[in-house]
This record gives sequence, C-alpha cells and structure tokens, in this order.
Amino acid sequence: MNGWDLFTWLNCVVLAGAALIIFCFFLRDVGGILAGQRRNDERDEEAAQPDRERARDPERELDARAERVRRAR
Amino acid sequence: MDHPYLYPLDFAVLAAYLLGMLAIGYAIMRKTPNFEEYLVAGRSMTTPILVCTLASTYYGLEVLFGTSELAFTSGVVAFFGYSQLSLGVYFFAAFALSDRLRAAKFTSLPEILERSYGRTAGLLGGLASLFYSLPALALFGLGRLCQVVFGIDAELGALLLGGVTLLYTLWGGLWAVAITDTVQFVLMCVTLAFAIPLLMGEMGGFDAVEAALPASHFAFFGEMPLWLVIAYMATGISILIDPGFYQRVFAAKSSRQARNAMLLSMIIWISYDWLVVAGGLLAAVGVESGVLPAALHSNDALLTAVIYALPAGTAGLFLAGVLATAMSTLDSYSLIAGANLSYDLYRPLARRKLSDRELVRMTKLGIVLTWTLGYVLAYVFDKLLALWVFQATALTSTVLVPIFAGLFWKGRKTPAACITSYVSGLVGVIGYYYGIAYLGEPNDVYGTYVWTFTLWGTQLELWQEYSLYFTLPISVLGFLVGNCFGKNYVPPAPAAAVR
Repeated sequence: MNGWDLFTWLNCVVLAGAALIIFCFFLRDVGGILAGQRRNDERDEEAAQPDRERARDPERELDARAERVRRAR
Repeated sequence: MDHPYLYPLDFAVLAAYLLGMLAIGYAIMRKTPNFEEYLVAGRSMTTPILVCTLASTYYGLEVLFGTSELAFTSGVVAFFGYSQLSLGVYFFAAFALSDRLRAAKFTSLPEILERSYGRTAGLLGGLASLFYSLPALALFGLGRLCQVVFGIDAELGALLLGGVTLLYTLWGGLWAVAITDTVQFVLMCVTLAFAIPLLMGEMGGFDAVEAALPASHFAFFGEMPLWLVIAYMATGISILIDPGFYQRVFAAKSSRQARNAMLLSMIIWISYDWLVVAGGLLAAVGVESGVLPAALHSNDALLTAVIYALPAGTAGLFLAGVLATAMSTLDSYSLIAGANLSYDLYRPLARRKLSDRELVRMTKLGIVLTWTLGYVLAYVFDKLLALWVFQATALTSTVLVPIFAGLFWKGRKTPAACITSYVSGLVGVIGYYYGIAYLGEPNDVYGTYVWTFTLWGTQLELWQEYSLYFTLPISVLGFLVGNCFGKNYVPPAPAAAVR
C-alpha cells in the first residue's frame, strides 16, 4: 500500500472515530443539559407562582405572613 | 434535478435532514429564556459540545471547496502550506486565551473593549464585529450549492435553506446552534471519512494519483513564494479576534473544557483537511482518466467526484454533510451579529438597564436584520470572497491590538489609545486596499489586486492579502501614541459592567 494511501486511511479512521466518540460523550451530556433546562423551567414556574397566588388571594397571604411572624416570636 | 448521479432516495435523505434541524430547534425553544442562556448557553457547555460547535463553525464551504480546489490544481501544498501553518495560532489561543477569557465572564468580544476602555471603545468594537459577522458569504455559498446540486435558482436556494437556519437560530439561540452543530459535525466528518475510501477505490488509490499527476503536486510547499506561505500562516491570526471563537469560550463550563475542546478540534481539523485535499487530488485523477467530465470546474471537483463514487442514499447523506458545513457557519454568525446589534450597540446607547426579556427580543430582531443585510450583500456585491477577506482584515487591524492590550497589558491604558489604534488600523486597511487597487493590476484567478514594482533592481509584488503586515504595526503605533493622551481608564464597579 502506498504511503499516501495509508495516511489517508489513518485520517479516515481518526476523523470518523473521533466524531463518533465525541458524539457518544455528547449524548451522555445532553441528558444533563435537558434536565438542567427543565429544572430552570420549573424554577421559573415556582418563582412566578407566589406572585400569582398573592394577586388572587391577598387575605391568605396576610394570614400566612402573620403566622410566620407568630412562629418567629 | 440537475445532478446526474443523484437519486430520489438522496433527496429524501436531504429533506429528512432539514426537517430534523427544524425539529431540534423547536424542541430546544424555551418560552422565556434569559439572555445569558440565549447568547452563551448559560455558560454550561461541556467539551464534547464545544468540540462539535468549534469544529463545524470554522469549517465552512470555503474549506471544503477552496482547499479541495487548491489540491486539484496545485497538489499537497493545499495541506502542508495552506491549512496546517495556521494551527500554531490555534495552539496559542488554546493555552493563552481560554483561561483569561473564561475567568472574566465576558459576554461578547466588544465587551472586552468596553470594560477595558469605556463605552465608546465598546461601540466601535461592536461595529467592527457586526461588519465581520454579517453572513453574506455563507448565504452565497448555500445558494451556489443549491444551484450546482439541485439546479434551482441560487437566490431562492439561499432563501429557503438560509430560512431554515434562521428559524432554528431564532427559536433556540446558542443551544439550538450548538446542538444542530453537533449533528452537523457528525454528518460532516463521518460522510467525508466514508466517501474518500470509496473514491480511492474508484480512482485506483494514490498509485494512480502519482502516475497521473505531475511530481510538483507532491511538493510539500509547491511553488509558493515564502511571502505567500507566511501570508497564509497569518490567516490563522483571525481566530485571535474571531467573535465565534470568543463566544464559545464564554459559553464553556470552565476554561479547562474550552482548552481541551480547542486541542481536540485541532486533531479533527488536521484529519478533515487531509481528506478534503485527498478528495481534490483523486478528482484530478478522475478528470485525467476520463471518468469525470474534462470541463469540470476545479471548484466543483470534490463534490462531483464524491457524488459519483457514493451509492444511492449515501450521496444524499454526504450532501446533507455539505449543507451542514454551510449551515453551521451561517447559524453561528447570524446569532453573533444579532447580539452585536442588541448587546453591544443598542444596550450602551439606550443608557438604561435592559431586562433579559428586552435583550432577547432585541437580539432576535437583530438576527433577522443582519441575516437580511447579509442576504442583500450576497446578491448585490459581486466580489464576495474579496469582501470576506476585507471583513476579516478590517476586524484584525482595528481590534486585535486594543483587545490584547486590554487582556494582557497591566500598565496604563487610556480610551484614546484604543480609539487611535482602531482608527489608524481602519484608515490603514482602507488606504492599503485602495492603494493596491489603484497602483496594481487585477488578478482574476485569486479575485484580488497585485502591485508589481522594482526596488533596488529586484522585482517585488504586493498583494492586497499582505495588508496585515502594514496595518497591524500601524495599529500598534496608534495605540502607543494614543496612550500618551487622557487618563488611565478605571472600569466601573463589576455589578454595573457585567450582566
């Protein structure tokens, strides 16, 4: 086999092999990325929830605050 | 259907690829992402994603077709002379820049100037980065690909395929860009690594190449003059101010991940470069032996040869890889140009604190505006490659010196130093380009101007591409002179400067 042929084959193996290995590592990481994104979504939802409740039921919010103050004392 | 070697199955594969890209963008789309997540992916990118997005963004159609064209006409010099010399600059970037950039938590390239020299410097940097990132060449390449392969009008092709890229970039920001880049990276690499051995089999391997082509095709540096070799090496300098590179380092989870990604990308680039060069050489043999048409344009050589060698269905996959090469560059620079408009130009001029929602909305508007401007430029300006070289030279000549001084120089730095360095570099590059065009002759082969003159009995040539040899020293001089004026810039408290 010609030296150039060998060099070309070597590069084919390196390129395809590296691409596939990196893709496998990407698949491992992507789960964590999407889970992190879902967690962020949930956190955003949670952050928005008390505001909405307060707007709906100000009396309940006042009661809760009074309860917190009582417990603190 | 314009191409004789394509089958309906190939077109089905291509359609599936485009739908897949849209599906990924839609799946990643978040209702209300914050700006940091939209532009720098929440600074949480790991090495594998960084490798994919770095490797695919830097390797556009100009590498696939430009390098293979050079191999087709001139031989292995395309690999040893043109591609590999610039890797030294990448190596420097991996070790010297990644730590410093990641530690400072910048969001964009012009922000380095803003924090080092103040608002005016940031605005000037934003303009230079915006001019460089306009996606005219990538859109033109997509259109040309559609014309060659599918026989449809180039402007319509760029509108359709560029439109797909625009949609998923708008939907998901950097996450959509990076995850589509990952799929595109695998397609680019695997299809090329699969196609070249088949092409070798069809053409008779390198024994046939050595028998058919002149020995000069195997000279490592061909017949290139030393100056041209150094000029090619200098093209690697552009990575040191490339907004796409900076954005990926800012998006890395840590500087170590960014550095590892750059080093791994270099291995990928070396292998990819050689296979593109091998494809160009094998295509030349195909023409010599009569397997491929004698009138084959050197620019289309790799594409035609590979499609000829691949079986039905896999040619479609290879074309998807070629589209991926163009789209991964287009999406990245559209996002950067949009952010230049919103974060680097609109935000400082608004003179008030913008909410995340406003910044994301303005960035999306910026992406649409800059994409449209790039599209118009692509089909109005006829010397597009020359424009792209000018864009890269202008950015390097204006911001490289102030950015490196901002990052590494611990002494006195005044806003005037940045402005004089920027302005002198800009005047230098415009003056040089117009001067060579006025004094020299057009070179249609390279689409440039060359001024030939005699000095002390020796005939010398000045190409437009040599401008950095003159404009960078001018920019350094401008910085040193400007630094004598004004007060040392003291950045405001971090909370005001960093988002």
